[in-house]
Amino acid sequence: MERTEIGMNKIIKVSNLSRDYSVADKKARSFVPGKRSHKTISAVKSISFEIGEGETVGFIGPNGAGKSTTIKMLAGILHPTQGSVEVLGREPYKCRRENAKDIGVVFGQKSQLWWDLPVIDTYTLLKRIYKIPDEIYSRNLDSYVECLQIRDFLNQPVRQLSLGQRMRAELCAALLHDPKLLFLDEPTIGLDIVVKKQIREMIRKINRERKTTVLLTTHDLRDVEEVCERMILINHGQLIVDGELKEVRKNFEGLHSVEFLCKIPFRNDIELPGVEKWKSDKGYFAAFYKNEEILPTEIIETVLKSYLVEDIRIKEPTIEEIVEKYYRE
Amino acid sequence: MIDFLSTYLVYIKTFFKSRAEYKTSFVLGMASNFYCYFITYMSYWVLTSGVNTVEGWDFSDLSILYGLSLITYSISGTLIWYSAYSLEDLIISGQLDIMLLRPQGLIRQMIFQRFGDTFLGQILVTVIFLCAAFAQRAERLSLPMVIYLVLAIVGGIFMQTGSMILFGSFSFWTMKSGALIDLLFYDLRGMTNYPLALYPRAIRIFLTFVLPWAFINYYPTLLITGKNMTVYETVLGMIAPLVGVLWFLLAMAVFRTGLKRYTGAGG
Repeated sequence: MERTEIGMNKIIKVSNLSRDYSVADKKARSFVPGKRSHKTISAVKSISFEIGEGETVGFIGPNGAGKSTTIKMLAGILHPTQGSVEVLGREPYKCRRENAKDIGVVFGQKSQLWWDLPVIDTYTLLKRIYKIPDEIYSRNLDSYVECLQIRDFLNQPVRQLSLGQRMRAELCAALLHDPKLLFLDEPTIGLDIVVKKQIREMIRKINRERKTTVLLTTHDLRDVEEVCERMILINHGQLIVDGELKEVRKNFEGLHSVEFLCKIPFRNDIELPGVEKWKSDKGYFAAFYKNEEILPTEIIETVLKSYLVEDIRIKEPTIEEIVEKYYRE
Repeated sequence: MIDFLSTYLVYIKTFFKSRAEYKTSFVLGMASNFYCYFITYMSYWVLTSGVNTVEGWDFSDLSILYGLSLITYSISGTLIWYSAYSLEDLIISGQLDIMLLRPQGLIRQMIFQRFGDTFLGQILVTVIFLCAAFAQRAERLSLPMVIYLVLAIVGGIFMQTGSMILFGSFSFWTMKSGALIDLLFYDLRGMTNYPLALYPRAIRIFLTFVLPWAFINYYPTLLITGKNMTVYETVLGMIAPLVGVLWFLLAMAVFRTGLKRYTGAGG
């Protein structure tokens, strides 16, 4: 038996992957038929990464960064223009159907349930489409219906479900065939806190118990913080950051801060090596410093000497702030 | 294939189960559909009432001609009309992507997507008039002719289903092709609801060799009613089921090419 440590067995290998789209160039449109001019847009530009079995990866980037294009290539819907992509030892776009049996997908903005049919009938159809053996089907159905609290609306037509109910039903539908790989594209969009939590817990549970590899795309970075160990950030089709969430946070420079609650406004009279800038606002001011050059205690000591401070808060950069900075670049 | 059929039966069963909630709207929809096509049959009846015929075609002949077209169209309609006709929407909404993420062929999934229950009224009215037409002239139903009739209907279903897939595939290349489809499929095919002999030669050739709608009903009807005058017409009647299957294969090839273009594999 080989080592089964998380991440050892690489099940996704992406190497120099690129994808171009050809779009009609409206400005340069020619009136000669058949001579319409096209321009090429690169949605994904030579990105490389590997994901190991059992990993939980937050795949993030601003709108139009190339996330969906990449996921479509991993799922076998889209052919790469250049480079290679391998999922579970297969090139997904060459064996779409084989690949489909091993992956589960949830789209927050689309539905894979039959609109007119009761939830349970959708599951029956999926059982047949995926050829799920009876015992696995009933085991999974029982377990997920329980965890996601679906039972109450199992016999209701999908169109009557609330968004929260529907997303839970969608997640269950994506898991029935025991996928080795789970793609989640904004699974918590528009959901209330309770359902968000339920969805996140379920994803964690599946990952823990089944070693299902999770690739999660989202704009709610709480999803990433609560579910993922690792994050991959892309922007303008290029890979910007790829690393353990802990590492990304630790290595990130410049956004650590100490906030001082103080009635007197800051007079710009303190200069400390390692403190990048001071920010002053109504009732408080803050020092932004580099983590490795100065300790927050040193800043606090200095400030306390000349200001009457009511309260102090030390702030670590959140993933949200980190991501925001990368998005702006 | 057996697996597919049994899954389809399961799907239809659940579909009707869920429709049962809306019995009234279902019955009304069916009735209006029935009425609409019943009127068309009645117009043939008026045309051929008394001693009148249309180029030697009486009411039972026209019922068979129109019936073959309508029954193949509506059976295909229950299968794939909704998905094929709205392929553009499936692409735009991303529903096509979801289908591509499942381990099943796309056409089969399109069949599963939506059962065309609105076509049931047409099937019913057509079955009634076809039965009436054959009851009137029972001598037409010799055993070989019954076999031929079944083959012709199957071939016609292939051709109609193929056409829906073919015209739906246009959405892979260009959006908003509705008007063109209406002309090529609906208007031109509508011409075969009358005996082709009524039309100029050019149109007969067009409906045989360019858009071969005449194989759906006209040439089979010639054989069934014994109106085939020439060897040429007899042969076209004999090969009609085969033409249907070939047309379907052609449509599938176009569909696959379009899909390749969609996934960026070519084109």
